[in-house]
Parts: sequence; structure tokens; C-alpha cells
Amino acid sequence: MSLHAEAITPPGPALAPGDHRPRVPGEPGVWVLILADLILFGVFFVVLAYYRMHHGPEFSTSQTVLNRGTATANTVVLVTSGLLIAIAVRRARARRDATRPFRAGIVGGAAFVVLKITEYVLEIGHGATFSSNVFFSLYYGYTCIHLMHVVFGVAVLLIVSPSLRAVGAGSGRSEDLANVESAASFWHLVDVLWIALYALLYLI
Amino acid sequence: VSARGQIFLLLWGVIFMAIYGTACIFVMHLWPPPSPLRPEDEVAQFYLKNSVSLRVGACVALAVAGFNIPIASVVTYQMVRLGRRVLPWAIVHAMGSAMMTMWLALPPMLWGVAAFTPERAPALTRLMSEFAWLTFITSISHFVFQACAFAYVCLSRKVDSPYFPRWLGYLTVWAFAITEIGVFAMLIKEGPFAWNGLFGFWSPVTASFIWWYAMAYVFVKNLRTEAAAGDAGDASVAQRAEGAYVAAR
Repeated sequence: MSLHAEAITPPGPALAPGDHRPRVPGEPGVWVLILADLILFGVFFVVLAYYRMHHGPEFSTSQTVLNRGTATANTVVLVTSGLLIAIAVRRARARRDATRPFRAGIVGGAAFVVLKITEYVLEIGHGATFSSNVFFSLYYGYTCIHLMHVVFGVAVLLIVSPSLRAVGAGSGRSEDLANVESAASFWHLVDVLWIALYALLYLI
Repeated sequence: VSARGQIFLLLWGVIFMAIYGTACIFVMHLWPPPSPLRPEDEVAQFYLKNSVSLRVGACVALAVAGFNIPIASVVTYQMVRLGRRVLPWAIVHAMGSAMMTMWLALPPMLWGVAAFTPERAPALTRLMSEFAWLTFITSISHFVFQACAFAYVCLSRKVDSPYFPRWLGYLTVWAFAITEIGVFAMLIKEGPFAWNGLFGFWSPVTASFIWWYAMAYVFVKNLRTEAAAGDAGDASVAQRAEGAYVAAR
């Protein structure tokens, strides 16, 4: 038996422009992933604090090898990307064309990947590798896992692009907007995690 | 295959998984995992002292290491039921799961080999021990296909089957990501990413078990519903799982 498409996803509440009723952005399931990821990174940060307590001088010395300028540029790039995606979602909710800020946000994500790989190359050039010491194992481990999140996030943003166009053109269904909001929610998680990593690894 | 037959297959896999874990933990004394920094004499002593229990445990673990096969068979069958469009994903899932079994069988084999002639040169025993541990922790090359195929089917908007709920798709993505972190154990011998560390061992193992048991729970629950509905002559539950893939939006 083949089910009709409309029966797949409940249509949900109509999202007319100006509808400000409280609701969960995206689909509820994506928040399971976001919450689980926050817990994972929460554990990451606790572990980092533990090792910092026991290897304080090693951490301070190792941090000087990191390329803070590139990391700061990456922070600006990612936060700007997050802002552009937020603007795009806002426009999409109003059923307006949001392709430009959305694309620019994706480009920001791609730029982050390029900058981060450049930073890795520079740091490895200074002899700092994953196995140099505990700080670098945490640094490379955490930032590499975050980088995978960025790559995954960019891929998801690209995948939901047709949904965004459909919403902007007025032909989208409620699930199209949910797709866009889910992807954007994940992207903001990627943003938040980077800001915490930037502060803990480069600044403190 | 009847719904009850599938429940049998699932429970077979789950029970074998439990036996596999029990053999590794309680018979082979591999819990908690030892430090990769152990000197070779200490490693050799461990295999010399526990030679019999390690080999007995290896026999038990090898007998049940294929636990992924009956579980994955049921999942693959349910994917096939969704319709022809899902068939390639079902094949990817089946092949990834079957190959994953090899990586689960190899570590007990290697631990057993290390304990087979433990009086050999300690460096050789350590080599075999490291081979076993790194195989167990970093062998993610085929799990990626099992997990990604499963997550795709769960998260596809075109699939509407109670066997593949979206929340389970997100859980799969999360568990898969955590399991993949284990590969870093190849790069370092101490700290949280080492093979005995929080991110090298504890999180991947915990996430894998959560995922496997969550999947088994969803499947057993739905299969029981399907079996009960079948007994009552209600075909609608089975129909919902058949061809629950909509090709065109």
C-alpha cells in the first residue's frame, strides 16, 4: 500500500506571516540531537577543565602556539554566518525570498572550514600535533569534532535549500519550513559550541 | 518471516550481544580497559596469568560475535518492506552490518591468540594486544554504512513506518558521531582520546549499546503490535509497514 504524501507528516499549525504563537522551531526530533550534542560537549568542557587543573603550565605554554588571529577571524565568520541564517529563517517565516542570506550563510560555513584547515596546517608546521601533549590532543580532538559538525551543518543547509526556495515562492508546506528551521537550529548549535571552544581553548 | 520470527531473531542478537559483553568483561577480565602505556613486561604478565580465562572467554565471544547479523537482518527486512526505492539503502545496511561483524569477531580472536603462547617475547604479546584493542576501538569503517543507511531511512520524509521513527534517526546520528570519535585512539596513548579514555572507549561503547538497545526496543514493540493485530485479524498494522515509502511528493 502506498500512502499519499500529505499523510506522511502532519501539516501542523498554519504559519501565516505575523503568527507569533509559541512553538518549537523546526521539528521536535532535532532537539533530541541538539540536547544530546550539548551534553556531549558539556562533558568535553568538564574534561578540559579537569586536565587544565592538573596540567596548568603545559596548557599555558601550548596555547601560545595556537593561531589566535585565525581563530578570531573564524569566530567572526561563523557568528556572521549564524546571523545570516537567522535573517533567512525570519524571511522564510514571513514567506519572503531568503535565498541570498541563506547562501551567504552557507558560504560562511565553507569559509570556516577552509580557515580551520589552514590553521591546522600552520600549527602542525610548528610541531604541534595530536600526540604532542594532553592539551593538543584535546584541542585537535574537540576542534576536529566541531569541524565535522560544521561540515555536516553546511551539508544539511544545502539539502534544505530547495525547501527554503519553496517557502519563499509560497509553494512550500509546513514541513518545508520545519526543514529550514531544523537545519538553522543545528547551525546555531554549531555557532554556540564554537564560541565556547574559542573562549576555552584560545582565550582563558 | 512472521512478526514473531523477527522478534526471535532480534532477541537472539540481543542475548548474544549480552553474552559477548559478559565474556569480555567477566571471563577475559578486559574491563576496565588497560592503559596503552603499560610496559611490555606487564602486558605479557597479564596474558600469562590469565591465559586460560582469556582463551575460554575468546571461545565464548567468538561463538556469539555475530550478534549483529540477526538484528541487522530484521532491520534490513523492514527496509525492504518499505518498497523498491529503499532497496539500495537496505543493501548498504545489510552489507555494512555483515562486514561490521568481522570487526566484532576479530578482537576476541586476537586476545585469544595473544594468550595462546604467552611465554613468547613480551614485545610480540604487546603487539598482538595493541592490535586487538585498536581493532576493537577504531574499526568504524563498516559501521558508518550500517548507521548512515538506518539514519537516512528514519529521517527521510518519504518514509512513514513505525519501525523507523524520526527520533531514532537523530539518536542514530548522535550515537554514530560519538562512536566515530573512537578512531582518535589510533593517534594517542594517554588522555581522554586514548583507547582506555572517556572519548576513546567509554562514550563510544555506551552510545553503541544505547543505540542497539533503543533500536531493538522500537522493533520488538512494533513487531509485538503487528503480531497481536495479525492474531486479531487486523491487517492495517502490517499494511502500514508495507510500501510505506512515497516516491513522489
